Amino acid sequence: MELPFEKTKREVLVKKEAETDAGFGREPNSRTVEQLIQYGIVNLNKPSGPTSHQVTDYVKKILNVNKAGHSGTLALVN
Amino acid sequence: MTGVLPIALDKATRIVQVLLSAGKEYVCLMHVHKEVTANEIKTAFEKFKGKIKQIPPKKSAVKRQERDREVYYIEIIEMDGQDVLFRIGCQAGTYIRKICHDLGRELEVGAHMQQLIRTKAGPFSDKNMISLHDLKDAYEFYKGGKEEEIRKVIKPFENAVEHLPKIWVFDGAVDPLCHGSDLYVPGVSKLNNNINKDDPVAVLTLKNELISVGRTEMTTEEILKNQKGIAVNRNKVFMERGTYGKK
Repeated sequence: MELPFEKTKREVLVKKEAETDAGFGREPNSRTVEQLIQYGIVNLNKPSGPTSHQVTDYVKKILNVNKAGHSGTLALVN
Repeated sequence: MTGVLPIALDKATRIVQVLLSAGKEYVCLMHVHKEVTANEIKTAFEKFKGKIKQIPPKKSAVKRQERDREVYYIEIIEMDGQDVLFRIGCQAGTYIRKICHDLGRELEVGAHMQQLIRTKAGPFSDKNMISLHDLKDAYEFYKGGKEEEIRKVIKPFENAVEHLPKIWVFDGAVDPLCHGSDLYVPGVSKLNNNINKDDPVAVLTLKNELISVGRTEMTTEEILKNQKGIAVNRNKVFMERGTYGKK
């Protein structure tokens, strides 16, 4: 079973080919771990006790970052 | 465990906004209040495929007024007496508790949601989730000088825009974007097909780094054909100024 975007095949069309200067930026997979954490995302399996907000706080503490955000609260489950 | 909860870190925090409006998938355990036949349940489920109307539940963050939602797929995984386990793929903002309630009304015996696990949030799925423990262990390893684990559990935030169409820009167009400029057509190097006007779009460097998420002012064809004009505006910028600045 697939969500609509999973079924969409996207082609890449070139308007004008160009090189990129290695002196600027960095490919996402070659970031340092520090950079990876600064611009990272964690796909967490949410434990059922704490709220999403609390879980986000745990993540902040574990990784020692000032900011983090989650993608919306799961529906309330008793 | 209640399933997929993507958490974005530090400078990537605001990227979760693009996941709010992305499609979701859940596995839900529903309890039907009186015995009904498997056939009756199957027939009721058929009515919840495609476009449905929903009034958000009382305990919800949005205005309680009927709205259209799309159910992309809904399938029964297992039935055991009055318990029905099912999988549902749906538009963002679809209330599953409400679907259970409405299924119960359709069956004329009542039903409620007993348990809910999210299995997809846009491009993130239960196939590659990690636990808080995994994260803690990986960070300890990293502090001890081993990077392998942390690179497995933390992903570049570009993963969060996998479901969006993309536009790649020249090096020279990056810094103006970081300073809040719109993206003009001459800055575009490559782009996906089938982009419509007003679509959310991810703007990337030629190294595949995410610069911003914006809205298109032109279709794919127009961007390819035109020599000037605004291609993308309403940009939410993530890349830091100067990343592609003067050396």
